Formats: sequence, structure tokens, C-alpha cells
Amino acid sequence: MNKVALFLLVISITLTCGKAGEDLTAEEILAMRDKNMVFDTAYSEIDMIITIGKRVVEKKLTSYTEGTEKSFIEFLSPARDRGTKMLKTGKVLKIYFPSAERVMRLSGHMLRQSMMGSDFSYEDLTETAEELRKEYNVKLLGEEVFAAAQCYVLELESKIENKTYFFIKIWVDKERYIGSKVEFYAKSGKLLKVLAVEDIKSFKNRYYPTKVTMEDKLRKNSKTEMIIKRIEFDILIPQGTFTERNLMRK
Amino acid sequence: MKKFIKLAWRNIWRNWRRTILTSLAVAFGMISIIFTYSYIEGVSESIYRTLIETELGHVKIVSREFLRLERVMPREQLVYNAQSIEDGISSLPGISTMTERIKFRLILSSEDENEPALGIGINPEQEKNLFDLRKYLIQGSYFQESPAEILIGDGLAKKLGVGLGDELLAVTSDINYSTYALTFTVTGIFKSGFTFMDKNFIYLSIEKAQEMLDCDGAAHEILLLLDDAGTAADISSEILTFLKESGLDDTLTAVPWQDNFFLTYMPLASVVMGSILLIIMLIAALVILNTMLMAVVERTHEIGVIKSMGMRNGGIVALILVEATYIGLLGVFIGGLIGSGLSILAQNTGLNFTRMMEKMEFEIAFFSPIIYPKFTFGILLGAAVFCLTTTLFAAIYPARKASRMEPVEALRTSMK
Repeated sequence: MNKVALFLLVISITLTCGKAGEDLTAEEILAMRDKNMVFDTAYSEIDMIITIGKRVVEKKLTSYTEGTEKSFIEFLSPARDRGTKMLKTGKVLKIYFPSAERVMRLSGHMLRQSMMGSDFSYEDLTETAEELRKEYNVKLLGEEVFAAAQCYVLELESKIENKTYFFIKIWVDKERYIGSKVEFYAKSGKLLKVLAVEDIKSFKNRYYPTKVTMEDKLRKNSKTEMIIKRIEFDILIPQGTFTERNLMRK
Repeated sequence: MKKFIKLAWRNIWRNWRRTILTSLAVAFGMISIIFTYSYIEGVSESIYRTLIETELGHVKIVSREFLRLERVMPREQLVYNAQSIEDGISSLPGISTMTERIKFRLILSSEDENEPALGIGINPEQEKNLFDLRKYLIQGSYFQESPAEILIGDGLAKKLGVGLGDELLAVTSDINYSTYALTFTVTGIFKSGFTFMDKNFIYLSIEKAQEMLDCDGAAHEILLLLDDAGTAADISSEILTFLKESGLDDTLTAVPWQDNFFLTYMPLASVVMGSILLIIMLIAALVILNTMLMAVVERTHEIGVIKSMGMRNGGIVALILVEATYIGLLGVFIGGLIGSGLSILAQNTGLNFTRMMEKMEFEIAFFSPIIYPKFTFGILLGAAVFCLTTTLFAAIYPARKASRMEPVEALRTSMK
């Protein structure tokens, strides 16, 4: 009986994998990738290393995330950034600056500004996978080997005229369904940014990129590495984390 | 000759309508040349003055990298020991003002709006001597004592929805790529007429700018104003020597205003503007030529009469030329008077192109929407010589042609 069950299981797994490998549409590939990136809650400790020319600046931050809509980030170092906090709810980002003791509310085109001097824009961090699927048409271009892994190459084209990134090209790792490399293009075809995943770790029920590098091609010799030192999924987030009061808490 | 002068004088008043018409053509030429020339002079002077006031000074001491990447404005490319450099060069003769500026991009945030802006940190007292913002203030007052004051362009104030006394949060990335924010109070609103400036600039005290960028005692530029703008190159090279002696010349440099990228193109711009002037002169010449030609051709019959009465060819040419001189002088007088008058009037009131220019935004304030034409006596003299010469030249050809006609032929022309 057990043997039969095991046999059936093996068969079914092989079948599903086989199907997964052959007939996935572009949308399905993207959905598979998003499944890795979406979680109920997470807490992480991150090192952000900004390199501009010969200068290297390291920042430490912590982040709480709930679903795709809410996140709360606090900067721990360097001294001038310490205590700067960001609260994202939906498409609105609020930043608290301890030196001015004021909250700035960012939305719309202002989210295209560089986030804390890095190669990431606020928008890069606030855009969710759902929005991506809603606002872009996806096309499977083919397969390619990237960083020693077989990848699907997807091309996303914006449905909206004035999107910052009109075209996005994503290399999705065929085995782990992680977007190992992402290229962001303007409508003119100019390459704006390149995101590369340099390290992927396996967690209980998902793969997750723990080291990514973003290069803003409009800045010269510039890159920002985000290294996730520690991440915990599906934890209990303290009540009141995603509130403006928490933002202004000293 | 005397009889020609008298005869010519009588001749031109015999048909005074024609005379007035012809001299009006000359006057038209005078007016257009004088006005165009004055206008062109005014435009170039405005470009030089504005660039010197807002960007260049007569000499600018700046980091070589900041100069090279001026459009990017790399905030960490600073003149770190601004005060000691100023002390070091203060003994050079001919420097009337030294002032520092810090330039950086920032985000301004009011109650309900955020806007990117360009912050200019200035030394309010010294800055007055170079770029006097006070004359552009439309509300509020120039820097008083409180350090957290800012002056804001009216376009920017409108975009942010702020007025006098309102608070603004200013956020920037400092020289170490940390994000820093301070709050300011709007104490003045300016309207310079330079659309880009009015829509993007704020002025704050240099101390606050240094605090925001985390760069105490440093500035992006030291600007010098000289007693004589012509000595800029000499003073720059003396400052370079000083920088070399202080071991600072590998990062810093001193630039005379003449080296500015835009100003090096001014000769080219002069060619363009010169061509416009040339076209105006050509039109003026054609009008004079045409009118003179008609005036002589109309008189073919009359020339036939005096010819048959025995006047020689040379005499006829001389007579017509003297007449042309009278007409030319009359036109030059009328046109000179009106042209100079108009130019001087415009010079005092200014020609306001603000409405037209509002749609045009130049990143550098150099094209003032209010142009003050610059009239000089030289322009009047030049225009007079040109118009008079053209008038005489225009008269020669028909005069010679008329003088060579057979009297009988000439007489017959009137029979038509």
C-alpha cells in the first residue's frame, strides 16, 4: 500500500514537473517567481553597500513587511541616517527624518528619486509583484544560461505610457523561480538599471535572494548591494508597527 | 558747384512729396538699423551680465571636478578651506568682492506637495554685491538674522503652495550619501524673470547649506568680483600660482569669466546676430535704392529738357548726386532722431518678453526676458554713414543712365 502511494506520488510529481518544465506560459513563469517573493510577514536585517567610484558607504537597516502592501524600514547607521524611518502603505511612502523631526509623504513621480543615496529608487522598493503583472504585458522570449543556471527570459512591456521602466527584461531561474537578473529600460530602449541576484538561499518553503546588486546606469560607476543578513518569514509583527506614530517614535 | 547746390535745393522742393517719400525710405533704414543694432548690443550685454552675476563672477575658484561635471553638481567636490584661500588672495589688487556659494539638489516638502529644487547657499552680505536678489524680491525681505530663512522662486512657491511665513521641509543627500533634512521658513519670494530660476531655485544661508551637506567651512565656489572685468585672466593666473604654492592646484582651479563655455560661443552668436543686422541693412538699402531709382526715372523728361538746354553729362550726374545728398541727409536726420529716441526709450523701460519666454526654460539663467537695448553714439554714426552711402550709391546708376540719354529720347518718355 505504502509502495503504491509512493509510486503514485513519484509519478504525479514527475508529471507536474514535466508540465512545469515544458508548457508554462510567460504569465505562469512570472506567477511562479512571485510566489517565492510574496509572503505573509517577514522581518529582515539588511546591509546596504553603496559604491560610487572609489567611495563605499555602508548602511544598516531593519525591515518589517506584511504582504505586499505594508513595510516599515528603520536605518541604524551611519550616524547621520540613524533614526530615519520609512513607512510604506500601498502606494504612499512616508519618511521620518530625526534631524528635522518631520515626516515627508512621497507619492507619484517623487518616488522615482534615489532612495537614501542608493541606486534603488523609492519606487523600486515599493512596486509590488501584483502591480507588475497588472501594468505590464508579459512575453516569453526564450531561454538562456545566466550565472550557470538555465533561465527563462521574459520581456515585460508597459501598458501605461509614462511608466519609468517601459520595458523590463527578467531572467527567471528555471529551477528555483527566482528572477536572477532584471534589466530596466526606458521607452527609448535606453538601459536604465540592472538588478542582479548574487546569492539565493533556501528557506522552509521558498527560495529567496539574499544578495542583490542594483546598478543605476545613469550614475557613473555606481552600484548598490543589498545583503540580507537575517530574514525570518511568517513571524508575528508587533501591533502598531505600520502606523505613523511608530514612524515618529524616538 | 555753387549753382548745383542751389539748383538741387530748389529741385528737391519742387516735388516735395517725392522728396519726403524718398527721405522717409532713408529714415526707415536708419530707424531699423539703429534699433536692431542697439537691441543686439543689449542682448549680448544682458547675457554677459547675467552669466557673471548668477554663474561666473569675474573669477571663480572651484574644484576641477565640480567644474567638469557642472551639470551633475557632484556635491562632494568642494573647496574645503574657503576662508584660508580668501585670506591668501585678499592681498591681490583689484578684487572688490569675494563670496562663496554652495549648490545642491534637494527635495522640498510642504504640507501637501513635494518638489525637487536647487538650493543655493550664499553669504547674504557679500552676495548682494554680485547677484543682488533684493531687486527681484516681490514679497517678504532679504535675509535677516534667523538662520533658518529661505528665499524661494515664485514659480516654485506656487508649485509647493506656500507663501511667506510657511514652513518647508528640505531633504537632501549629504556628501557622504546620508539623507539629511531640515525645516526652513519662507521669508522671501523672488521673481527674477529667469523662468528656470523662478521655478527651481531657493536661496539659503551658506551655514545651513553646509549643515545639510555635512561640510563645515566648505563651499563649491568662491566667486570674485573685480574692479575691472578685463583683468580677470591676469588675476586668475595669479590665483593659480597661489593655489600651486599652497599645493591645492591639483584639485582646485581659478577660471576667468571669459573661459565660460557659453561665452566662448559668443563670437559665433555675434556672427548670427551680425547676419540679422546685415539682412536688416540689406532691406534698408533695397528700400532706399528702389525709391531713389524711381525718383530719378520719374524725372527722365525733365532731364531731357535741361540736357537739350545744354547741360553736360557730368553736370547732370553732379546735380542728381547733390539732390540725393540732401534727401539722404534729411532722411538720416529724421531717422536718426526717431531711431535714437526709440532706442533710448526702450533702453530705459526695457522690452518685456516675459510672456513669450515663460515657455522657454534654460537651465542656466542667461537670457533675461526683459531686454534693455543699448544705444551708443557709434551706432548712430555707423547707421548714418551706411544710409548716406547707400543713398548716393543708389543715385549714381540712374543718374549716369539718365545723363547718357539722347535728349530727344528723354523728352519722348513723357509722351506716353
